[in-house]
Amino acid sequence: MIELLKNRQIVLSLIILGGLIFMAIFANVLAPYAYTEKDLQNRLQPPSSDHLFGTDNLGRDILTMVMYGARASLFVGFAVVSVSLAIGVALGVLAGYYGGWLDEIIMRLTDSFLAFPSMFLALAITAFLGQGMKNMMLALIAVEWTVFARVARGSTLDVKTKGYVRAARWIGASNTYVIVKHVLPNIISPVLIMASLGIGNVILAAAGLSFLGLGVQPSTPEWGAMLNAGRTYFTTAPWLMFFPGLFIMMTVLAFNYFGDGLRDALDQKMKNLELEGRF
Amino acid sequence: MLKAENLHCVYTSGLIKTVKKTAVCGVDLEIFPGETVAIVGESGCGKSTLAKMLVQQLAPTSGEVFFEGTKLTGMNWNNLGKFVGKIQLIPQNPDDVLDPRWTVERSVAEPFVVCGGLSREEISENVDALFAEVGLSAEHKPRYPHELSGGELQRVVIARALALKPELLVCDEATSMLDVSVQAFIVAVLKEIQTKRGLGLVFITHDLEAAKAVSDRVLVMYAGEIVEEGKDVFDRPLHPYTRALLDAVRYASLDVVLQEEDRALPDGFLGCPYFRLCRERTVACKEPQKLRDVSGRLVRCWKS
Repeated sequence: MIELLKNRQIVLSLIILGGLIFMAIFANVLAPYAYTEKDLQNRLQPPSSDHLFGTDNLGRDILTMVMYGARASLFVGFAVVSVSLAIGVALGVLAGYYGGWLDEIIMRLTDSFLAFPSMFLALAITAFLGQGMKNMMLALIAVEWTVFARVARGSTLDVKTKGYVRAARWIGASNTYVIVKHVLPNIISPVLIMASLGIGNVILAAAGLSFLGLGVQPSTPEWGAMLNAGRTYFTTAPWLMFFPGLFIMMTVLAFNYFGDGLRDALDQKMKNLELEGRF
Repeated sequence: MLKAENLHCVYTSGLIKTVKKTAVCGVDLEIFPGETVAIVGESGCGKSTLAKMLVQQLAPTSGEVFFEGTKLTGMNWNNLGKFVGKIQLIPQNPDDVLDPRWTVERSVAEPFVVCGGLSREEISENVDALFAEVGLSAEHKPRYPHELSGGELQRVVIARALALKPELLVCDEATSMLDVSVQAFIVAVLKEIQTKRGLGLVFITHDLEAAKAVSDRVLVMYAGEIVEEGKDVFDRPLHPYTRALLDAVRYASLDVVLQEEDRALPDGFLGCPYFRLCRERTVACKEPQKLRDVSGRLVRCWKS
């Protein structure tokens, strides 16, 4: 754990992410206004000392909306990735560990999901289920789980051939025991790396769907929806789109940085293990 | 105790054009309680494949393995569970058998945990006893596999294998990765455990000196077949291959280290597998060779 903090990428991204999460949790305390507060006299105000990020077409404070928007975006990111991870890892491990027809069925299913462009699939699902945050999340899960299934299967195939799995079987351990005690702990690092990169992707995709009007309802503050709302005023009041866009970029970048750093750190550890393992 | 009858193993590879490689070809073998059997031979002669088939990690293409009269081959996993622990394999690479994320103490305790029925204290006592038995101290217990040396790791693996009170240990090149002094130590540890517990030991190696030092009986393998079997094989080798193998060590003779193509036999050749390399070959060697009893020694050569 301490070793992870030696990685500059990780530290930087953790600071940004920590700030964002803090902002999201304490939005009601930190925000200068209520996000429902409309001030029609001060519509489309440029950034000033009263409104640091300016105001939108209904006179709502953009900074407040960005802060509350972090809640929706981060929630969608974490929730979608957690559920996808659970589904994907479970299916991937089963496919990789047992192989045979189970592997064929699960992997062909994964392939058929992967065959569609992800945004198109998400669009089709939200169009089919109807708009709204819940349906958008379902759509994103449908896209995202395949990545975890693939990664988990690949890593499981690798771990399965290791001597300690065979050795555990030969002392009479059940398959469930081997999966829980040996396979899962040993495939978790690539999966965690994928998860940290996945959160960024999901936030971006959620913003994209909201931008297209398929995600969060415009009344709830969400970065993608804010972009959509600001579109009409882009030439006259660019701050409507600039600030939510900036936060989306920062968040996605931070998650990607975190994932990259995590990969480097864990790989390095693996390399050291290997080097030390050879006597 | 352990008996193998007419074991064959053929590896098949390739999807469109299948290539078949016979690794083990008609091996008969019996190991008695408390006995040490060394299986020697060059790399690729089928020693490890044979070991895996003996411990049921690999299903033979044909042939059967019996343990105390019960047929193990073809048995499903649930029934095989009863024999789990009775036969343990000690592999060449101890690194691979231990989960890199577990302390060695946890790895050694795993068999007890899996089999259940013991309290935490009892498991801990058993683990301590096993560590002492293989000559490891308590300070090794909380370490991870990458923090131990090769010899220490191999001892951890042996301790783990002993946990379930096996009756037979199959050591597949268990000392090959270690340097000479550590090798001698591991061999000594194994012998001591064997005398104390009276277990059978199959010692697979290409180190002829180690084989000679530990074994009651030696099996010499060549191209998947047992070519010679007996007690004083190294003192009085009868098969030309055994002689060549001993010469290779003693005089750095190159008779056994020829290229693959030099030793390749024509398809459908049923005679002695050592035909191409043998200096003493005659036309009669093209006939299939059977293991013959030559004054208490089994030799697969008509001349002996």
